[in-house]
Amino acid sequence: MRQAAATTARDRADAQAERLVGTYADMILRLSYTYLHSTADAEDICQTVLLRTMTRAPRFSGPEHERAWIIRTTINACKDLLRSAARRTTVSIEAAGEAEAPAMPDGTVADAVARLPRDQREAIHLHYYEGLPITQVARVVGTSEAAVAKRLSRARQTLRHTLGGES
Amino acid sequence: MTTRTHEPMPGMGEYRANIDDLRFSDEAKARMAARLAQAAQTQDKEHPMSTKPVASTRRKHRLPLAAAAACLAVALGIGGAAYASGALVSVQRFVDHLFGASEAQVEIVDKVGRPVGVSASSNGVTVTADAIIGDKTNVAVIFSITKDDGSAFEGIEPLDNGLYPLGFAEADVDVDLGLNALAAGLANASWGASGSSYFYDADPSDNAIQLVETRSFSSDAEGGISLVGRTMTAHFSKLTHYTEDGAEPILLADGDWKLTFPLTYEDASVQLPAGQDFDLNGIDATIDELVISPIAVRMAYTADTKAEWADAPSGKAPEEDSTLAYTLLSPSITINMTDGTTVAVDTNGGGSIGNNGDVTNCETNVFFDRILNLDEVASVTIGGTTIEL
Repeated sequence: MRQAAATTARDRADAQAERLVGTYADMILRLSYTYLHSTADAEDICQTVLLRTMTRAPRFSGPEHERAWIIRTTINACKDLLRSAARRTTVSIEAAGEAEAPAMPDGTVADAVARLPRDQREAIHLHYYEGLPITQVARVVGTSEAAVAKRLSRARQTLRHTLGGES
Repeated sequence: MTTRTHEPMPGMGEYRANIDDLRFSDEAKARMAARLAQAAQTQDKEHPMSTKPVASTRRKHRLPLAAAAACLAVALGIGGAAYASGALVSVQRFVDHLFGASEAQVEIVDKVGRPVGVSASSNGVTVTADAIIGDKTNVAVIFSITKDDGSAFEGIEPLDNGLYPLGFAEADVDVDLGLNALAAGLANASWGASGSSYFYDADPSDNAIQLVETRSFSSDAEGGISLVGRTMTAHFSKLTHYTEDGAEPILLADGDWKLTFPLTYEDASVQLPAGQDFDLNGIDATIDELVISPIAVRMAYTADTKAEWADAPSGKAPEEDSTLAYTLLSPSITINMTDGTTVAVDTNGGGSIGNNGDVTNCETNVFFDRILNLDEVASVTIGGTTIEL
């Protein structure tokens, strides 16, 4: 019985891990790129976020609840990484060469969005790419709807200027 | 209700195509899924309630030894001010919450913020003062509230603004200003405090909820008052969930929590010259004191008008009184940065007003919406009058 129970638990973990990676890994990669301007740490962030999801998440009321929770946890993981980077006083020579990270996006608009301030990039990505309503963006980033609307407005204005007549 | 903008994003089609191309390879996904399942099982067996980041081999290579040593020093409290034992929310994360995230302000944050890590437990619930941020007369504190059995508070959902409809039946957060000892010097002085309080969830991956309390203190005592080095006392009881209007509040935790801790941050305030005249929403006024810090501005001033208040029963101030108070306590304040940019300060009509014969003495404290590096502040403009730093 004990062997059977252990096998079942392992099967459940495998199935849940596959589901979470299949459903959310690319979303986490794209969101972390929006924050970090890099894909080098995306795999670590993805692992951290999804492990928390498997071991510490609350009971979700549905897929949207789970998705919103994972978005917030990803944002926090990115901020943690930025903070640890800001506190570093030395740079690893090894850091540059070893990553087998996904290729960075290449394109005029992606570059223009990458140059926006972080809070505006965050709002643009979550609202336009992930399709979250302003109410939900405000909730996951911990600010007011008015602040999100203002960030979106400023970002659009900058993008219009940067991209010229493109729209 | 949800809000969705209908204004298109310039270049949205290309942006979507660019970002759609950003994806993990099938091999990377298979590797992650296998490692994730293994880590989840290991963690379940060894540390059912703890978090432990997945240690990938790449991460081990990437973290420089010097950085690892620095992290250890911070964790041990050696020359660092990031975390204290027992604290769930770091100073930096509290700063991010209050002022917006920026990794470029570490030196300032290390001055104006301090970890606390003082807890009180009652009836299976622990309240921990995690961190403080402050200056001479303003302080913000973040508390984490957790159930000792590791479970989350069930049945509470955030409002549309992301805050939680929670409160303590009794909540008293105050600073011992030593006024009794100074009574002789303060015999003719007045003082007071104002502030705000709200609950939110700093990290949805844990079982804690957070309470933020801000306090601004004012006094017309000679030399003013300073919070730095003073002792803050927080006393809470009966954590309550306030549901829809009129519905019976739900008692979440019937406990009593008292925490005492020192305000040990550095006061990074700078006092500017006073005595200038300025326009206070159409009223002539004179600056008596102007102090800015990286997190807030404090301003005392005399308005050349006699505040006439309506003779109304207590608690029923007429609209004209509110309008007058707002006029007196909403000076126009702009911070002018050395790079030519400006920061408009959102004065909110809070502070103190004192009748003084034919003139009115006012004081207001306002937290900024971002952390300011005072080395980059050139001047402050109050109601059309500019004062150099």
